[in-house]
Amino acid sequence: MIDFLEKWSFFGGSVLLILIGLYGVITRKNLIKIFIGLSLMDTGINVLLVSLGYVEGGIAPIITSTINNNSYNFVDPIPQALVLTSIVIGVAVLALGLGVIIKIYEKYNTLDISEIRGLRW
Amino acid sequence: MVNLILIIALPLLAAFLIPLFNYINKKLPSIVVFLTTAINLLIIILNYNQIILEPVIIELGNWQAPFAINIYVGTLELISITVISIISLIIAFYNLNHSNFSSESKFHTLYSIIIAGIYGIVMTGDIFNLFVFIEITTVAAYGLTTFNKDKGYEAAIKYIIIGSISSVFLLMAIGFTYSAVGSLNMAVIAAASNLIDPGLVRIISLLFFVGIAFEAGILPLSIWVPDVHSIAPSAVSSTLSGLVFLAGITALIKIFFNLFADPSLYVFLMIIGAISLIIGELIAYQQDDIKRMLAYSSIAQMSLVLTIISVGTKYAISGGLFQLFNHAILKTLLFLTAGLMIKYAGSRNISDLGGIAKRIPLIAVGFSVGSLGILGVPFFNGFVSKIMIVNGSLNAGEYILTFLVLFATVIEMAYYLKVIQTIFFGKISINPHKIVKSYVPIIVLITVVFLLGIYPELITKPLNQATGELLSRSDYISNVLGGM
Repeated sequence: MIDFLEKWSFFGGSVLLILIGLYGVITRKNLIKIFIGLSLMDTGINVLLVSLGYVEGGIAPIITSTINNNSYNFVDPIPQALVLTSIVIGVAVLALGLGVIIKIYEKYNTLDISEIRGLRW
Repeated sequence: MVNLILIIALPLLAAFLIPLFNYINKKLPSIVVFLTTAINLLIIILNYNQIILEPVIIELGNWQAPFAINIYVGTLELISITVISIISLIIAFYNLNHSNFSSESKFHTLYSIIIAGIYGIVMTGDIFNLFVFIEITTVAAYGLTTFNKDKGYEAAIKYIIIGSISSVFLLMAIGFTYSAVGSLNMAVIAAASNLIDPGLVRIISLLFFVGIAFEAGILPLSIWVPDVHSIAPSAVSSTLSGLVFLAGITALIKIFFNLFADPSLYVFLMIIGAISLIIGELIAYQQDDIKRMLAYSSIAQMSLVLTIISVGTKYAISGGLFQLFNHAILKTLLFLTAGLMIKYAGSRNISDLGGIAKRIPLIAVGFSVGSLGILGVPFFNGFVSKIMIVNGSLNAGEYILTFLVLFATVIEMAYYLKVIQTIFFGKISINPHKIVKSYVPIIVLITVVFLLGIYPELITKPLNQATGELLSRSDYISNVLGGM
């Protein structure tokens, strides 16, 4: 049981996060809550990407004077680089979305999408 | 030869220098954008002859192929970037006179960024780089949507929500691909794709489809299209409809032909495309808002392209690609003229545009040329591609598909001719608003439409070569990876 959890908790947990986020985006009516859902999805996908590059007992892939040959067990650095990029993009989109939400609130005085004309779908 | 990476770098540089230029002179940003797009066209023309002979591969940072991010420009990419540069130049010219937005320099910054992103999507040879460029394009597009103060924010929120969900799926596809292959280079993935479990390939390509189809305007994921296209300023709508869709479809083609060439996926693409085609046409028929109608028509056209390309024979693919480039030219023309007509009449409804042709004849003629081109009337560029599409699907034995394409054309004819009839013969009931009449972009676009209609060899010859390259994956792999 513990083995199973160790092996699948990263993967299953991140997929669960994505699904929770997607559920939030679909069911919530409040724009801020929708964006919290989107943020959860982003976090989930970042955890998933990091867990894909995880190596049991691996160390950070940095070559120093003591760690300088291939006998060491490095974790895969590429997914981590991807996650950095995707975090930055996620933050930018989130900031832009919140900015637009402020404008919508100024115009309609509500954040409920069922009350905003042009947002019902 | 000039380094092709410049055509991505120059618009980005211009974008971030525009605030400075704006500080010097308020007129300068639009001129700078116009100049960068012109220089891009020049760079592509200078490189044209070399790329048509053999694909150009640029490895960034002087690293070898599997480790570096590379830019791959084959014939398909060459035709795409040529069309993109011509259209972006025309739209930049249109923006010179029409930048009546309160915060002009921001508009031009975002326009430059979106152009850089579109070039990137088309040329990149690395799937994560593809994701980054798609995000650059969409984030700029979110910003551009909000420039209409009327309803722009609502459309932008819709766009952001759908875009973020799609980007999560795209990242998931990239992650799974990386964990299966161990590389992000498209050629390495293509070389290894036969070794991956076919079930996993199907899941990955489905995720890629969900992630990119939103950008390419295939129906289930593109419910944002009508809102964004109809509300954004017309220069933005034509960029989104003409160029972003073109880039999205090119990326989809690369994924489904270069990366994972699994014939069982093509059936899936064909069914999705056919459903999206018919639904798009039927909804477009019901619209009264002229820009909404054009937006749904764009969805239908993109689905048509996707469907016909997924037939998979050489003739059908080149017909579909031809239609893709025709659509980019025609929709730019249609959105620019429709935007001018809307401004002149002060209304978006087709019924309020009656008899507008008597007041602004050239703009109305431009709109009609665009519509007839989409319908595929002889001597317009759409005719040749429609013939190739019908021929291609018949030769491949897909008779149901041929029927659906022709049926869709009939619906298309109904709604486009309705608009043409209204603007030419309707009762005049407009109180005119003042507009800046810019005839040059319209005349240039009309010329291109007739040029391609009368001399289709201009584009069909390189297109056949592009199709040949698409269908021979081993050449693509060995081109990028050398003898590995």
